[in-house]
Amino acid sequence: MHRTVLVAALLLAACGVDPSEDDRPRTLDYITSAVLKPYCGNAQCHSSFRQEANRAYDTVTKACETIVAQQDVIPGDPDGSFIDQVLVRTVKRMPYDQPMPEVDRALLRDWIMIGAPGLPDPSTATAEDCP
Amino acid sequence: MRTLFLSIITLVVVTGVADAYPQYQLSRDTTCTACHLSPAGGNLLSENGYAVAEAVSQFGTAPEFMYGKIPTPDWLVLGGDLRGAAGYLKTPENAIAAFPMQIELYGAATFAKAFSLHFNFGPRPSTVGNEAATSVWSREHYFMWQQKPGENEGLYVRAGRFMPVFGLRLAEHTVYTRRYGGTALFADTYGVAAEYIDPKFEAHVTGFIKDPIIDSVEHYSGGAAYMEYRPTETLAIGAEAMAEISKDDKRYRGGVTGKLYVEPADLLVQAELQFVNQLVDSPEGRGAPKAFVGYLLLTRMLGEFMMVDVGVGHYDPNVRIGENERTGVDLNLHYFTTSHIELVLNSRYESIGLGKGGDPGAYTILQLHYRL
Repeated sequence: MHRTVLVAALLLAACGVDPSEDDRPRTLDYITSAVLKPYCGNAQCHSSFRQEANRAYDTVTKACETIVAQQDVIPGDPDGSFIDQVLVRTVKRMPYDQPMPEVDRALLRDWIMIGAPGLPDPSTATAEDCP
Repeated sequence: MRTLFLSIITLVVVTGVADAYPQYQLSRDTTCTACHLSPAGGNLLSENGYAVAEAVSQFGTAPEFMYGKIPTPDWLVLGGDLRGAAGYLKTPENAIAAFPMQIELYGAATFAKAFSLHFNFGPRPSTVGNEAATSVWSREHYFMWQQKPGENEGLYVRAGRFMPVFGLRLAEHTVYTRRYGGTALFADTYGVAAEYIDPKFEAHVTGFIKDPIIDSVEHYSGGAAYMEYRPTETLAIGAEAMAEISKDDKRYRGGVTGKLYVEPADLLVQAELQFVNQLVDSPEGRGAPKAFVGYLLLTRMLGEFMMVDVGVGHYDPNVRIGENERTGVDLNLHYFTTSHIELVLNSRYESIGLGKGGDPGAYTILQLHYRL
């Protein structure tokens, strides 16, 4: 039984392309669905339901409004973006309730690096500019 | 320095709701309605449920609501669950946390024999900035019509706010097939369900809408179906399907479940495997992650009043991308002390990409559960 479970897990884990060939879309829509909602937008955290720290990341509109209001993203500067800093800081590291895969953090950083497509310029935008 | 810090967290991070124990299905009885009033299981117990609660506990005690000291009329059933938990989390930051987990009161009022109103009430994690209006709620409230009043089979029709019946319906909301499988914590919403329960099979079909009243956890409208066939008293095979549509994306789920009670070993084996096709609007055309989520759970009673679960979960959020899948091993130990008090030790270790995709996570949490 244990061998069967291990083999099944290894087979499932073997699925997928090399992370260096990650061609997933770098758009606000996709980043919200693939990274922000599953890792940040859980019920007790940054969902519309809870809005911990005045942040909600579980819909594209809420994610945009949060980023604009909180200045969590600096387009072109992943190292300077708060949304990435919280993923590696040593105290109150996020996500709080589960570890986050490096490949998904890399996707988030890539999106910020290329200017955060889909996001209105956080330095000038207001919530009304969000989709 | 990665610090071990002490945090007292109040309804912020790991709050939850825990419901029925499907571990008793097949090993004790064939359907959830054998012990619960709801066709979904969970919440209020039936007379048989009270008897089971007493039988599996070490010290017995009167199993009824408030030990039977507060009598209720025949048409009214009351109950409730209080849970608190404390433990160690590594996600990967180390933390010691203590938190209230569940404070809920339940009621079911029967009228005109076949109709009933079911409701629960309690505090909830409030919405930051809107605490005054969001401190308490009724997570579930629905009207139900039952074809065979007083029995635990037949046709049920429900309308109101509840969680669609889907999958294994395990109590722990952190189980992958709940968290990533369409029935996440507080994903209850408004809907209408038609459900048929029979010792040989059951079927549940639910149509639901995005909650029009509160800022909800999930933002989908759609439908869910779950069917289970029991060819013998110790074997159940199920199929599930769900469609969820929101402004941002669409998710289509399909899966199978299986339950086998190995009587000589008093071992219940349950498994669920689900495929998820998510469609995200993307001008680049690659916004369609296809995911798998699965869970295997082995349950055995240790003596008469302890139960151990060993579970293995796997979640691959995008089969095209490597090293972002997670694999977790759960170990849960339940100790039923009296008919009303339970201690549960929940532990998990999980890895990302089998150790290649990021830091591992773990937790071990001790729950104290008091059923009113």
